[in-house]
Order: sequence, then structure tokens, then C-alpha cells
Amino acid sequence: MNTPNKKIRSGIYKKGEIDLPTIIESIKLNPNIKEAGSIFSFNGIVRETTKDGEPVSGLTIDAYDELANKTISRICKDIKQIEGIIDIKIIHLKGDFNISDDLVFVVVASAHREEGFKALRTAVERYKSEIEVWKREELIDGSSEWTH
Amino acid sequence: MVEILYFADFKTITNKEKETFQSLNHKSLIDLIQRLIVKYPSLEKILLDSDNGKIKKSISISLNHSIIDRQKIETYRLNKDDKVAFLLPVSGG
Repeated sequence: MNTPNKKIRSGIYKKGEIDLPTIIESIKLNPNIKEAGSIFSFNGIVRETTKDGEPVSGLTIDAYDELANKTISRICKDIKQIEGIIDIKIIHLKGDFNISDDLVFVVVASAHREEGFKALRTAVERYKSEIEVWKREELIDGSSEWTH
Repeated sequence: MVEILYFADFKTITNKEKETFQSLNHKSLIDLIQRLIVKYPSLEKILLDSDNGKIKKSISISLNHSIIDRQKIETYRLNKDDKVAFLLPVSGG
């Protein structure tokens, strides 16, 4: 894991390279953190079934790092423009994952809970549809397919 | 020398992360696609619309780590050292 007290950049990381406590610790290093009254976090993990309910043994995440990092930066910049948002980190992991492994972290620090809840949701919906990352689910029967 | 970066389905089909192609300087992206399809026939159904033979609307093309406008796809001429990637709709975790 990353060294505590180190500022973490949003972006694409390898599986296991970073965890939620490290990100929260990093967001607390923001010089304006005293203005925050709340920190919200979203942790996407690997579900044991596909959207259609088929059992999954694991999944792979592939990422176009250069483009995905730019897109993540754009989303974070947009979210930081919202009044009351102090800071945001979006971390997407890549590699091969087992059931319940961490895939994504979104952490938002906000002055008040209302804008924090809303910003967290916006950030999650945007990363799902915008960042250049692809998922391949490995089914129990041995087959696998990239989802789009 | 043009470099093609492969992601997701493209990586699976080509079994490569990237590949370089010679003699594509000043050629079009369509020329590049035709060359790719000759080498990897399975890419045809991913890249081209079977109704009109044009690049599918669901495909985005990245040039040197920036998405190219759709209007420029047919007129763009490749330069040496270009890095090209064909991108399917994303599916974040």
C-alpha cells in the first residue's frame, strides 16, 4: 500500500496498490479540509454474478491509462467546481480480480452532507460511463466476455 | 511507423498489447483498418457496420492519447510515430 501522509492522485492504479484508508488519509491532507463536515466514500467491489445473474468466478479490468487518467481528472475538476465540495479522489484499479475484491474508490469531502451525497453519486455515475476502462467477466463455466 | 494500442476485445483477438505497422505514413485510418482486418479477420465485425461497411458508430478512435472527432476520421492522414487505438464502449467496475 502507499505510504501514509502521501498525497494520492486520482487515476488508474494496479490491483492492491492502494486502499480506502490511504485515500481518506490523503484527502485529509488537503489544506482546506477544516472546511469539511463530512467525507463520503464509495467502494466498488466484484459481485459474484453478472448483471443477468450468471455466476462469476472473477473478472479482469483493462484500462487505457493515459486517456482514463485524463477523463478522471476532468470529472474531478467538474465536481470540485460544485459549491461546498472540498476535494474528491477517484481511483480505479486494473488487473485480475476475485469475488469481493476492491475495484473502485470514490471519496468526496464536503462542507455539508447534502452536496456530498449528490457529488458522490454524480462522480460514480460519471466514472461508470466515461472513463476508458473495460471489464471482462469470467463465468463459472470457463467462458468469458468483455462487457460494453 | 504507426503504433496500434490494443485494449479489451482488441487485446484478446490480437493477443497483443500493442503493435507497430510500417508503410502507413500518409495513409488513412480506413487504410489502417483494412490492414488490421486482413491480419485479424475477427476484427471486421467489431470495427465495421455490416450494413454499410463504415466504421461502427460505437467505436471511438484515439490518436496520440486523444479522441479524434468523428468528422475527421475519414480525412485524417497518419503520421509517423502516431499512436492509434480503437475503443469500444467503456464498462467501468
